[in-house]
Amino acid sequence: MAQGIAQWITWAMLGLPLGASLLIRWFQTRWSVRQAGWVAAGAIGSSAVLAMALVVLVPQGVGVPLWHWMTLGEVSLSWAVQWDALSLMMAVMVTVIATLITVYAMGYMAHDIRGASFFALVSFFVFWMLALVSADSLLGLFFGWEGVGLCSFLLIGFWHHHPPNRWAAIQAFVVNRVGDLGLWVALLVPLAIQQPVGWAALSAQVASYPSLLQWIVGMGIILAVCGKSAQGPLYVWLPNAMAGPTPVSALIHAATMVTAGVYLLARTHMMMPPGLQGVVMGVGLGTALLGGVLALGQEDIKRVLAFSTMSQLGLMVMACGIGAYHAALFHMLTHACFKALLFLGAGSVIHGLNGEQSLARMGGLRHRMPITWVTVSVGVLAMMGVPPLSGFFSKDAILMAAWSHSMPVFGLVVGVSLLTACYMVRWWWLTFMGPSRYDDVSHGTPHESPWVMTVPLMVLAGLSVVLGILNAPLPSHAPLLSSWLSPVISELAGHHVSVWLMALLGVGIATLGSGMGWLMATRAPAMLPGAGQQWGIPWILACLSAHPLRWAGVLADRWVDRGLIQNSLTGVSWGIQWVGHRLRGLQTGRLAGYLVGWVLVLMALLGSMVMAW
Amino acid sequence: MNVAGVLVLAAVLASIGMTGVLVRRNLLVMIMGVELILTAANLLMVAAGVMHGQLDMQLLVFFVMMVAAAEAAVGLGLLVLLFRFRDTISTKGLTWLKG
Amino acid sequence: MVALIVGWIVALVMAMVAVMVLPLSIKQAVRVGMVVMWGGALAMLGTALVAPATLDSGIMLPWSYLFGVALEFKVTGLSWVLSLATLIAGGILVGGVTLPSRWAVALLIWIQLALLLVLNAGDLLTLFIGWEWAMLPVYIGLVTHGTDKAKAMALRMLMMMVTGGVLFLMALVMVWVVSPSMTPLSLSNGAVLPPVMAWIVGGLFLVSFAIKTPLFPFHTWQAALYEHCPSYCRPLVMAVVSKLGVWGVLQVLPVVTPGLGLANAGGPVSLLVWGLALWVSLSALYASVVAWGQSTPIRALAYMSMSHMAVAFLGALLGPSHGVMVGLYLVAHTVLVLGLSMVIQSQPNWNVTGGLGGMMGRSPWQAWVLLVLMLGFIGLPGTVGFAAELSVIVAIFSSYPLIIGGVILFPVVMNAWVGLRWLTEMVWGQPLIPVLKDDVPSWWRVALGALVVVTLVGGLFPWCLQRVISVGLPLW
Repeated sequence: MAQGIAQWITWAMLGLPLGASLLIRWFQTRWSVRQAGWVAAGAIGSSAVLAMALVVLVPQGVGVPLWHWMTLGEVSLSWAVQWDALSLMMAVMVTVIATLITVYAMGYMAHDIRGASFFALVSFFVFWMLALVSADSLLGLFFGWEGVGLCSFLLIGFWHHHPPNRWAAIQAFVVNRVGDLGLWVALLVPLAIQQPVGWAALSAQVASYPSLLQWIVGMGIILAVCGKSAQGPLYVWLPNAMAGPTPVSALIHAATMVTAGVYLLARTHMMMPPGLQGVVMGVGLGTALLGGVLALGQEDIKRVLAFSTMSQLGLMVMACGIGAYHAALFHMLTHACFKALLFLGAGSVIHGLNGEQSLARMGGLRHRMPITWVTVSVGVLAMMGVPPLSGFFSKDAILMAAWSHSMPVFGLVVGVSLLTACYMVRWWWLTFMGPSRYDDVSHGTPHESPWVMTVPLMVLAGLSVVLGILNAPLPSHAPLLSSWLSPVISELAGHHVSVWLMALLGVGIATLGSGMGWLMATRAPAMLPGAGQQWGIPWILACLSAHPLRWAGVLADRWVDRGLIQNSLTGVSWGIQWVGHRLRGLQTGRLAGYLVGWVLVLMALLGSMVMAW
Repeated sequence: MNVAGVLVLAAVLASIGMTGVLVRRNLLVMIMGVELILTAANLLMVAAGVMHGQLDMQLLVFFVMMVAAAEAAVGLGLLVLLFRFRDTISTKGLTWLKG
Repeated sequence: MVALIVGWIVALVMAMVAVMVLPLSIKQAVRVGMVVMWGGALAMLGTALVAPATLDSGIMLPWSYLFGVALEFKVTGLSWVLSLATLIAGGILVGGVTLPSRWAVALLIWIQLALLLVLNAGDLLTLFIGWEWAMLPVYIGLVTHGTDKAKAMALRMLMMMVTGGVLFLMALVMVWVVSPSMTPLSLSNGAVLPPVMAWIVGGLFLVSFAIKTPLFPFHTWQAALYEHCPSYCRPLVMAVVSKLGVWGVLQVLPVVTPGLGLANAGGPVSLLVWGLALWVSLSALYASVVAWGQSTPIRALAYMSMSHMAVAFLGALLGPSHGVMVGLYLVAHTVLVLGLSMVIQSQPNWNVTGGLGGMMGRSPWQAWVLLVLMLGFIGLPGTVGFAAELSVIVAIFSSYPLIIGGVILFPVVMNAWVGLRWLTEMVWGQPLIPVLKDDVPSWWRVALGALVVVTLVGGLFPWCLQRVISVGLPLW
């Protein structure tokens, strides 16, 4: 009975966003932005309700087969859905936040000519994201993985009349593709030896691989995570992805798509050999630090948040690396709420200032946009980890996990938290507080956003406040989220630190960081020179990868194809002509010469006849 | 009868004739060389007839002589024609077959 | 089915002769062409629906009593699909592209009949006849209807093809001499050649197919051909003629020289085979890199196509046991390239710098088709391109050393980059050269839509395609 209901719910949950997307696409010239927005929001909202219904109805999980895809040798590949605590949690998070952001976008994109098309793409994205989290095999996940990559490409390049947006979209897709090579490898190893790729089966058999193959599969997964979650050298696409409309940045590049990497790490937690887990931790920690530092020097309101996202994802990846999966997933959940809130708030500011995105020309907006200011402030506090907001509990969990792992790691995580507080307060101060630096003439009078935009802000602020109880280490009973997730994924045991001590530490970090951020904002807003260009890191990476390939392509075409090969063909024909020219010299026309040749041949023939005889 | 000596004589005559054809530029001398080769062939045939005790080869000599005479006539006729055009019987400038 | 196809080949010959000899107007010639091509396609579809068992059939036609030579024809699921694609592509082109004269119709018919011969050949001689016939109409078309530059490179292309043909002929003659009877080696029999001879013959065939596939360094003819080809035959050439090299490998090589398949490898033999595999995979890599340096989308498509065909070549070397994988790849590639070339060449100024862009505003239907097909071409999951790519690359990974597999994965990224670059350039932005609204006949849109449907259905339910293709081929 549960199976039957789960089947219907699954089809509806996946089908509604897809259907809405196709419907909006069909009617996009006839519907207004509002109408398209309501259709999209309705569909995604229904999916959210259905997801939550599933949580209530089948908390222990259920599997729903869909259809047979293909047979590769002896492996039969099918599309099927696996609902368990992990995927349900992700599904609820994705759909709820997507619904809020869709409602918000109705206001943000209200004056855009192609606004209806936007909602078609957002619904399409939600469909693929749900396909990603609900897949029961690595192959199914790969479908969703590339699908969200496609939607990201289309949405980043939404305002395609501006060429840099198109380029940013291509960069996002191609860098993700590089990461996808890792997933290809991880898929190909089991498929090539004729093994199935469902999660349970895969984990079991990877554990039985020889060490080299385990490392190859693990490295492949790490590469894929780096690509999708903007870790390590593959982060370069995320800051440029801010070229898309702000709801896109909020949805895809803060709350949902980039968290797919963390989800993948959680799913494959049994497949990582211990050495690779150290790599995961290192990559996450390094990215967290880099992102935090770079966020300090950004001028653009959205780029600060982009680097902040990169940094927080680094923390989550690091937590996975040290085995604290529940902490990572909890932080992912809370981060999704307050990061989306921050992005939407930034969008509200941009909208209110008629498109201004530079922090240097903001300031003093707290009087003009009070609702935005209050909600964003809640978000900032949650981000910094101030108790009793949700961010405190989730960051706390990570801190405690780091403490029980090792002191250097703990120290670095504290450093990241400090940086977080610092850049967040700097950002907040430069945007809302202090004197106003905007120009009334070009920006118009800054106005508060309409209710379609502020209500989602308020809802998200509320969530940022209360979500902490989901996994709070309360004295009376075990943390809810952890106990729900435990059958699926285990957690590193052993945080034996007093909660109050950690709370004190959290408050201390937040205060210290705020002070530093306030100092930076008031004394030297653009303090880190070169951070705007990220100290040339993307340029260096491009010189190592993209530029040589580009040059190789052009030069190979010019020198090898058109040069060497064509010329050698011409050379061959020239050579034949030369030989013919030379042979022509034999025809002297002189009788004596011909006769000599004739006689010699005759002699040779006669001689051979005589010898043979 | 020393057949071997005759064979050697025939070979010598043939080589002299061949050398004359190949080396000399005077057409008349070349024709004389050709005649020498034919003579050497005749001598060879007679010697072969003596070696095997048959008369057939001596008959064949008459045929060869007849052919040689005809060919000499044609060759000399061509030579006279050539002289009319070029006022010389040297083969020095005859490269009209050049490719 | 095979009787139908042989009969239809004869019908095509008659139609071609009729168009050449009779003083028809262009419209009448087009009508003749449409009848014979669409009629053929419908007949094939109908026969397959009514009697699916006949998809695997063969027939032998005595050709010359003088030498006791027979022509053998064999239809398999894969050859049926590709033949159908040939006829449909021809039918679309003859009706949808403006033709310069009735000779163009004749040439189109000629190409198709040659392709049908090659695809349904059951023995080496028939394969060879079709193989040689296929390149002549392309050459004639290039010289008569191509651009000025086309005339210069047409001869070069022909010379390379003829070289390949000569090598094929040499190998064919060697096989003919060695095999016990005077009939050419049937493609369904095993090899009867002594080992050394088998390697020589295999080598000759290999080079001949390498020229046709094409592989580095014999590939320079392809991009120039696609660029200068007359519009009425370009999609057909790009979609089907490009498959002939891999088709040859698939049909001939494992039968003639089983040593080239990695099934029996060991010692210096395996070193040779691995070297061969490395050459082919590096060719794929090279092509995907050079694709970046191209100045028009058709040329870029040519090089990306070359890298795909090199991957297919690698899969085809594995032998008939992997035939379904490679067959799926060939079918996917045919469908995608057909649609892509149709859309791209219908853009005015596609071969002029600054002539691309703004397709989404001018003709959104074509822009969406281009989007889906290009994404399929670069292997996005959900399209038939991914299903095909996955199956071939899994086959390659399971049989070749890992490094070959690693080299093969590189074009996956590179092709995505090149493909997306041209996609964004064509679909979005604005062209520097202003363009009036271009329009295409409505049934052209239907054809494109059908191709998109096949792409998506093949991507979501690839087992359907597998089922059709595997008729007559051993399953992996």
